[in-house]
Amino acid sequence: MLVAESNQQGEMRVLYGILARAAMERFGKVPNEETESRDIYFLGILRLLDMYRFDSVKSGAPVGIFETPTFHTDYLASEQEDQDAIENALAVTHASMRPDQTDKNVFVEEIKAALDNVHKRGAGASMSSRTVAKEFLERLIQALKRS
Amino acid sequence: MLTSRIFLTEECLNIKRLLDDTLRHAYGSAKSEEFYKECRARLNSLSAQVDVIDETNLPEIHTLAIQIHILSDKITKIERSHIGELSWPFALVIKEMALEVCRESVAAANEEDPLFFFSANGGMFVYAVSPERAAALSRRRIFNVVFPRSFKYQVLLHTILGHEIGHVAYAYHELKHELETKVTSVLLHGSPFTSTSDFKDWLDKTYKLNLSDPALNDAFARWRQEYFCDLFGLLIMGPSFLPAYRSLFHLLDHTGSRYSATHPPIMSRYSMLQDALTFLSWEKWEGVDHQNLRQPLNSMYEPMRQHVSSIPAPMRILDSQQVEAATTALRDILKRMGNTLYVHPKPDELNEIVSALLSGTPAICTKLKVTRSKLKKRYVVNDPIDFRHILFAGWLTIYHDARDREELSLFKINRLCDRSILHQDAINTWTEHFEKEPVPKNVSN
Repeated sequence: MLVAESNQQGEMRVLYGILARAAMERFGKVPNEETESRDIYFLGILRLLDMYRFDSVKSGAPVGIFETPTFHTDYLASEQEDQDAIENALAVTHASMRPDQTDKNVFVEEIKAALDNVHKRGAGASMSSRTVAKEFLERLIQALKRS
Repeated sequence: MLTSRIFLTEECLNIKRLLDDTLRHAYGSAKSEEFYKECRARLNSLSAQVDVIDETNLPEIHTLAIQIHILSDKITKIERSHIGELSWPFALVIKEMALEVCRESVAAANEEDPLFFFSANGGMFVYAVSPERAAALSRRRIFNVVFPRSFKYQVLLHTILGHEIGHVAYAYHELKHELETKVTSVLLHGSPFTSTSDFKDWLDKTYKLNLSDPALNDAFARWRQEYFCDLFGLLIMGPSFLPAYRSLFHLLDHTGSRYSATHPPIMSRYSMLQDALTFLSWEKWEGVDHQNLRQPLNSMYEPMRQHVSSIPAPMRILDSQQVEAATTALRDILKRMGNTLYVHPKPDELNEIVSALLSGTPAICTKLKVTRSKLKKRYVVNDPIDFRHILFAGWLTIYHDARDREELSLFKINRLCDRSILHQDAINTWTEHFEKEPVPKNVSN
């Protein structure tokens, strides 16, 4: 098995765990040259939230109009498990954080606004944004670990 | 043995050297710099993670190692992307089209425009656009468009990439959601592809297949997306999408009904596209009876129509009325994406382009008109030709009875079309920069 193929078998759950933790570490940091416009860690989490909102975590991703030469059903199974784990972790985070809020859209908008505020303002972010963003990231990290 | 942190730290430094050796200076163009900056940002984020990684956390170390491997692989692929191995005039127009498709979504997602690089790989069936999947570590996405190396000048076949642009659209979650809701669900309404349970039953009945749940879910999502991308390719590329599509697919599966976990049966796709073609009235094209159009139009469309009429009922899976409704919905969406929606040319213009190709000259019929303003200065004006009209004319030339098969080979027609797209790009550049500038009086048309 090639190393590249092992990626297709799914480390996305772990990767999002790393990203969430990295975003947590950014709390209060002064934006530097690399983070001036858009911090890569926050952007990754924001995209993940959008994937959750639009039910796109589980998405087949065809890469060519013809058959994918490296296509194997065993890879499919493990990739699906990885996607399931990420989706479940997001659902668990949502349910534990906002049990009464069934509208994904409202939940995602709230978290995105908080993350965006922390991302752009660093230490100057409002306390409420910091609280919401931190709680979300902590719960997401735990849920990703459990899944 | 090196510890994981030391190893990965060293590899990050290696990649930094690789980046500095290649993308920073290789081409000396602004585009190269954009790739450099994006890859550098990704490398910085990975390096930062390596610095703080817990050496006992093996899953995280493994994941970071894979991400570092992927970045290195991507940089190498970008470095080895040689535009001289493919039709770069076509590559440029397809990139512009893809950017138009995702521009709205990029802004909504607070991203920057994606970057595109082009590769030429071996094999006839390597056509692909690889959108970055989750793009978890990127500030902007990098898409790789792949052409068959041996098809360097086969621009008429390249129209098949219209299908691939559909996958680019699906890579953006919000847009995908809209397309799923307004187009794909409408297209597949009433078919076995509306739920996994119906799909499972259909696979069992048709192919005696019983897939595991993960494989079933994956095939379900892929098949739905493939049907959408076929319709998308037709609507953005126009009629020339069809002969390219059918020429290549026929070689891949001559039965048309073979099972694939990634793509629906080809016959069902032919059938859907024929329904869309009929609805769009491209086949009849009422009132068009030009010398260079009617006969090749009939020669191109009639065999396809006859073939589809012979497709057995079980493979005519999608309802034609649903195809019409989905086509209408997709047209409405494409209308807000710049000039992505294909619009038929004026018959006179197309007739003229075919005439030019038949006489072995590039399909540029743009008139350089010299007019006089109130200030009595001369201005150069031109009417640009859409590259899709050039390709349509190319296919009609192939089907034209008057074509001299020896003098005007398929290769030559492809090259003429390739040059035509290049010429048009040059004319557009001229127009953009000089049209409003007075030109010397000795310039003639």
